[in-house]
Amino acid sequence: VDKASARVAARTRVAAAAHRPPLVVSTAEPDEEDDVLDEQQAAPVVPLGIFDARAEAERWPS
Amino acid sequence: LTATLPRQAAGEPADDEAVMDNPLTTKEGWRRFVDKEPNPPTLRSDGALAGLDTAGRFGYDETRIEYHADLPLVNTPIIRQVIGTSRLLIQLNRHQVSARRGVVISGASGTGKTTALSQLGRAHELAARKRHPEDRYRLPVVCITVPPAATPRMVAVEFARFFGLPTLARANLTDVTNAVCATAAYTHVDLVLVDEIHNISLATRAGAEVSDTLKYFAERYLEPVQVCP
Repeated sequence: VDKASARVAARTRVAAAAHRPPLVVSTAEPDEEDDVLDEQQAAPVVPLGIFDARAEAERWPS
Repeated sequence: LTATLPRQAAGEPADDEAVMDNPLTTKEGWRRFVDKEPNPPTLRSDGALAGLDTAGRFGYDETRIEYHADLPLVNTPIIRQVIGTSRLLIQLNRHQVSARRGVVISGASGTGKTTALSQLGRAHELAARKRHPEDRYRLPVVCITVPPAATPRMVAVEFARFFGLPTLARANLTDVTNAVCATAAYTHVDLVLVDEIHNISLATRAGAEVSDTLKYFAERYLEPVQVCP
């Protein structure tokens, strides 16, 4: 492996590693009390709707 | 990284083959993405289902699974912001001859940057088709992906590949750039989407040259929108 190829491989490896989502590791064991608490403290649901590119384009000025 | 291979003369390729050969970063793949509309299958009654043979039932189920696998896109805040901001900049760039505005979309992986980018391009192309229904050869949106360890020539070739321009091995950067810009002007490109710009490293000379090349394209094109992680 020449120097240029090694450099390309290393750069690709770093880019791929930096592109992964961070891992969320939960150390606490879930139990029933937590579930009940979560349900009581659940945030209100916000309806976002569906994105329709064709409808969006119709709204743009011609 | 060469030009799109010529099609077989005998008939159209199968759908799967066409999708593999035409990713979003070619004009054929992009057009397929823009034209795609969900087509819900016709539901059959219990009696009609009972009358289907095994192959017919398999085909019917596959059609339904295909439809439900193509989930609708939720209008998230990031999509609204990307569309709204970019639309404003596109309007501001209409009569600019230089110093055109661009957008860099940055965020954590998996938060919908590329999705928002592609939907912006799709909405813009549909709006452009509405404005110019007679012009079937207009390509208002160009979409490329920056390859890993990119050089200026590789980026120029990516643009050429989108248009289906042949890029000979002996063609230098200037040749490819001029061909791409002439084609872009002829097809009225006014929005350029550049994905994966994290592959450009400004710490290296090649990366800095790629950045300069994109700036040069932005001066000769119209509206650049770029995505990085």
